[in-house]
Amino acid sequence: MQPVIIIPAFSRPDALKRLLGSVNEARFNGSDTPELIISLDGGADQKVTEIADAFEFKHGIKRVIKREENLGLDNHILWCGDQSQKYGSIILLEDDIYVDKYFYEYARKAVQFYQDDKRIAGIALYSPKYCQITKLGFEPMRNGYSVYFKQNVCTWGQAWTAKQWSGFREWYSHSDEKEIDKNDAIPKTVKSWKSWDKFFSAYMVDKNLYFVFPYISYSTNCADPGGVHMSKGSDRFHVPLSAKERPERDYYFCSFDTSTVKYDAFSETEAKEVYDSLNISSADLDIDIYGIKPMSLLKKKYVLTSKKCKHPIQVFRLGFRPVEKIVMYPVTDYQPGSYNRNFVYLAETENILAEKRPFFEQVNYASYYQTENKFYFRRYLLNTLRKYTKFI
Amino acid sequence: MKSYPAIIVPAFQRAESLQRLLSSINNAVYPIPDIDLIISIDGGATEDVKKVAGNYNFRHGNKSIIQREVNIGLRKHILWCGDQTEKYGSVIVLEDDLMTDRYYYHFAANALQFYENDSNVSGISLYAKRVNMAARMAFEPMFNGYSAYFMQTPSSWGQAWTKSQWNGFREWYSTADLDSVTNHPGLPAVLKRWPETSWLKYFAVYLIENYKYFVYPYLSYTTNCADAGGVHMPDGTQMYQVPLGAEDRPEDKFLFCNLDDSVVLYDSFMEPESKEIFKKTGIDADKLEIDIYGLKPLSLIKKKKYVLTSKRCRNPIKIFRLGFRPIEKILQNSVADNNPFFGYSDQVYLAETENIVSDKRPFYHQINYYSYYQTENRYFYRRYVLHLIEKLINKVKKH
Repeated sequence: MQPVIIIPAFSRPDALKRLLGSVNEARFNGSDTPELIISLDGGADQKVTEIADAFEFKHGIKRVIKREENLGLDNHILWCGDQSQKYGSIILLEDDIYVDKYFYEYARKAVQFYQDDKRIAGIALYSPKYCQITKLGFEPMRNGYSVYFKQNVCTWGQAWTAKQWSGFREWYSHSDEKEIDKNDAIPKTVKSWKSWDKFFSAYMVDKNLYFVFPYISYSTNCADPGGVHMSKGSDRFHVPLSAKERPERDYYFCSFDTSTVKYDAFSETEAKEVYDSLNISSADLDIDIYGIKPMSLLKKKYVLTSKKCKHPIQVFRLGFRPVEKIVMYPVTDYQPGSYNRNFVYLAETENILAEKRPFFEQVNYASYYQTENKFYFRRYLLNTLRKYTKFI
Repeated sequence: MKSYPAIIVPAFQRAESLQRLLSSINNAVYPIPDIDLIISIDGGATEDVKKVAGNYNFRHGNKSIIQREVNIGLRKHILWCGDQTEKYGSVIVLEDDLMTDRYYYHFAANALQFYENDSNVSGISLYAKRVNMAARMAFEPMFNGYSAYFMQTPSSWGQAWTKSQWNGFREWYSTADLDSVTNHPGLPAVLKRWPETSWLKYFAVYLIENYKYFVYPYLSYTTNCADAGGVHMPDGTQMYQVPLGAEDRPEDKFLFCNLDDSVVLYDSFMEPESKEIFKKTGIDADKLEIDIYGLKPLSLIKKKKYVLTSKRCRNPIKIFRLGFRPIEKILQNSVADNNPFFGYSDQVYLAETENIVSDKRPFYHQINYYSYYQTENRYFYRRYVLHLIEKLINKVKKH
C-alpha cells in the first residue's frame, strides 16, 4: 500500500510552508513514487495559493486542487477522507502539523499491517502527551511494540485505509447529533467539539473501535494562531520529536488482540495486568482512575476510582508510573473513614460517595512537578492575575 | 565479556522497601540460572531488614548476605559495592528503595557488554531520568534511534559498572582532593549541597574532569520509590517514580551505539549537547555554552563567547520560544521579541555571553512547558488556592 498524502490548506501560509518543508525532508523508501495533494479550500489566502503552487515535492508527484466554493473545514476534511476511496489509503496532514523524517515509512507500514484488523478505525502519527479528555499529561504503558491502542480519534496527523474511512462514512450518514449528546459513554469534552472529530469519536465508541497510536511521535501540532478551533494558537500540543540524524528503526506492530495495552474513550487503562493484579475480571470491574466517568456508566459490581468512596476493599496511591502500576502495592497507612485525594480506591460501585475527581493532585502526579512551593505560588498568582485582568 | 554481572543490594533501615525490591528481582527474567546476588547489610541495620534478607529465597542463583558489625555509612557502602567488580568482573547495584523491571538484567548485561571497550563510558544507568533534580522540573531526552543515550551525570538509582569503568573512578578518587572537587563549577548547586555521605557528587566531578559519560536508557528498567527513612530524603517522595513497562510484554530488543556516533548527549547540568544544536546555530561547541534551564553560573558561561540561555539578555542574536519539544527542537523557528519588557517569559536567547543581563531563570514559564500542563485556568486556580489554605490550616492545627 502506498498512501497518498493530503494536505488541506486555507489561511496559514507560514504553517503550510513549514509543513511542506518537513515533508520534503522526510524519507520515502518505497519503490513507487509517492503522491502529494494540496487541497485549497475556496477563498484560500493568496499567499497560501502561491506557496502551494511554488512547492516542489522532491520525492514524487504534487497536485494542487483549487476550489471556487468554500467547503468549510468540516466538509474539507471529509472530502480529504473520501480520497481514500480513490487511492486505497491516505495520510491527512492539516497545515499546522510538522512531520518527522520517518513519518511516511511508519504510516505506510502501519496501514499495511492493520488494513484487515476489524477493530482499527485509523492510524495516528501523533503520540499524545497531553490528554484532552482527562485534561492531564498522558503516558501510555509500553508494551514492547511500536504502537498501542486507544479509543480516541487522532486529528493531528493520521492515516486511513479506504475500508476504515468508509466504515465511518456509512455510520456518519445516519448519525444523529442529539443521540451523541445524550450518550453517557461519550466523554463530555468530545461532546463539546463542533466538527467531524466529534462524530468520529462517537462512531468509535458506538462500534467499539480503536485508533493505533505510536509511542514515538511522527508528527507534532504547532497549533498556530489563525486556526478554526484555536484562533489564538497554543504551544501546549507540541510533543517530542526525534533526532534528525538518527537511523530508522524497525517497526514492531502487534494485532489488536495480542496487545494488552489499550485505553478506552475516557483514557482509562484496559490492561490485563490491572485486572490480574486486583484479581477481578473485567466483567466485574469498571476502571475510573481519573474519576471522570459519569455514575450512570459505572454499572459493574466493583470500581477502581479516585472518586470518594466508603468501605474501600483496597487503597492505592498515585505513585508508581504509569498509572496502571499503582495497583502493584496497596497503601499501608490508610485510615478507615478518611479521604485522601492522592489515593485511588477499589470499592463496590454502590459505595461511591461523591462524583468529583481530585483534579489538583492528579495534575501534580501527571506533570512531574509539585506546585506547592512558595516560588511557584508567587509567580502563579501574578500570572493568573495578569491573564484575567489583561492589565499588561 | 563472558561473565554475567553480579547483583549487589546494599540495605540498612527499610525492611518493607527491601522486600519489594527483592520480590521484583525474583520476578525478572535472567539469561542463565546461576546469578550471584549479594545483600550487603550495613552495621546497625534493623532486625526486620536482617530478617527479610535472611528469609529471602532467590530463585535465579546464589544469594549471599554480608552482615557488618560496624556502620560504614552510605558513601563507603556504595564504594564497597563498586569494589566487588574486582571479584565479579561487573556488578549491578540496586539500593533498597528501587524496584526493577522484568528485563532489567537483560538490559544491564547487554549494555555492559556493548560498552565494555568504549573508554568514554563510565557506567550504565538502569534508571531513565524524567526529572532534572537541579532544575526541579521534568526532563525529556531526544530519541536517537537507539535504546540509550549519554549524559555526563552519574546514576544512583540502579546502575552497573565493569571492573575497568569502576577502576577508572577509583584511581581518580584516591588521588583527588575530595574537599575542593565538590566546588567544581560544572557541578550543579544542588549536588554541591549534598552531604558528605553521598558518593554521587564525587563521581559527578570525575565524569566532568575526565570527559566521561553515563549511558542512560530511554525506557526505564528501575523506578525509585524514595520511601521515607532514606539517608538523603528522610520524608520520602513520589517525584522520582518513572514509567515501567507492561508485565506481559515480549522481551525488549536492544540496539546500542558508541558515544562518538550518538547525536544525542547531555552535560552535567542535563543541558543538550547534540550536534543538531550546534549545526542549527552555526556556532561550534567550544564557543557556545548551552544554558536553557538557566542554572549555570555566570562564571562558567563566560568562559565561552556565545550562550543559548533562558536568562535575560540584551542584543540577542536570535530569540526562540519554548514551543517545539524536546528542548533541542525549539531552534526550529526563531521568533521576534514579543515580550521585551518582561524578562521572565517563555523565551530562550542566543546571545554573546557578555550580554547576559540577569542571572535569574524564568522558572514559572519553564514549568508550564516541561510539565505539559497550563495551570492558568479557573479550575486549577480554585483547587490550588483551596489546597494551600487546607495545608495552612493543618499546619496551624499541629502547633
